[in-house]
Amino acid sequence: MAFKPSDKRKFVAEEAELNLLPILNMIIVLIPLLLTSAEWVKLGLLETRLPPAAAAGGGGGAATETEAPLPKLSLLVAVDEAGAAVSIEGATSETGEAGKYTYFPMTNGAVDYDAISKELWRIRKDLVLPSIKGKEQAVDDRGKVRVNPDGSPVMVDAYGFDDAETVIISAPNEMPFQDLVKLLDATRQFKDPQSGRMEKLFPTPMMGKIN
Amino acid sequence: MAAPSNMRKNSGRGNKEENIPLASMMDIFTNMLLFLIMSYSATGLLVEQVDSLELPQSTVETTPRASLAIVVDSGKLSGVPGVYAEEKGKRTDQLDDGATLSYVPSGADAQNPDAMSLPGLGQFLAQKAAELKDREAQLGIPFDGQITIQADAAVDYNSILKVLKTCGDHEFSMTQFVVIKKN
Repeated sequence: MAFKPSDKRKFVAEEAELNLLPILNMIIVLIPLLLTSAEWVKLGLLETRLPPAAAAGGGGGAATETEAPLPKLSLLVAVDEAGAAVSIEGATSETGEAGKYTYFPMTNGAVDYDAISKELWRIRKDLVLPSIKGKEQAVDDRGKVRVNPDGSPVMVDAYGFDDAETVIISAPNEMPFQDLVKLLDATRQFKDPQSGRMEKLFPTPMMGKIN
Repeated sequence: MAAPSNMRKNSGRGNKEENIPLASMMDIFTNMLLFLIMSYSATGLLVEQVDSLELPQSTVETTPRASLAIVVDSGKLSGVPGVYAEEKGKRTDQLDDGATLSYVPSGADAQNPDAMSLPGLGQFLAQKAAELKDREAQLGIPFDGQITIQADAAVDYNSILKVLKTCGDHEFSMTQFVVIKKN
């Protein structure tokens, strides 16, 4: 007597195939789109200002500098053919720093950017940071109060100097722009070897020429 | 008995559905997609680097913003130094030539403030300032005096100062240089 074969035998495990074609189509469209908008070279912006005297004709910028009740630090970094000098020309006689002049000769034919940065950090730590009186509302270059996304005013440190974040730069006529950018980088921030943190120095450079 | 021809043997192959192995291709595309998404940036649409210009490198982290743009070329790569107007990553008009740009005032000229100005750039900026002020009056888009400068790494300090002074004299006191971010 013949037995009916079991139904279990009929179920053969089939290999399910995922249909990748729609995903592939989408990826093929996305790749050229992303290729055209990819940022191969990351660009940044380096903001600079002219010293107040030269910028006086300007419309937007440093117009608020004229009626400042606070004393001025007038921090100057002057580069010449043999090195660079960091000096404070402003009203800081109470700290004994007024007119203090530190000269850094060139090392291996290049400006000693690290030494300049270190000296500027010392000045910020010894003079600028102790002058902070509290917090105040931040204003933009046009004198308008800056606000957070929630509408509250942006609060910043209230320094005891009018130009506490400004450094005046002077350099030889023939100095290449790349060297100038290195100098601006050195005056903007400093990596503290003790804490390992990047410390803000003087992020607003004003470029001029000393005759 | 004659052996069946080879054609018959092979004739059945065409009926089979051959599947291209897409999985490996998908892997490649997925990796490419992830890489491109990581390097996607909308800022590239705001500021484009001009050809034949070697921008300086900086540790700055500020992201580019769109504004009126000019190019200051030392001529190191392009061979044609000067100041140019810029639009969408292309030089348009030459505003000042290389001789005017690199002239260093000396003697009595050193005391003349106009010697540090660039006349062609000045005219261009005056015209643009008027246009932007009109736009402010008509559309309410504020004129903030911002100008973006793409300057070659080899441009000298004297030329940079001239450009800055000319910008400051014509109400563009918020100058910003385009640099390549390090790391």
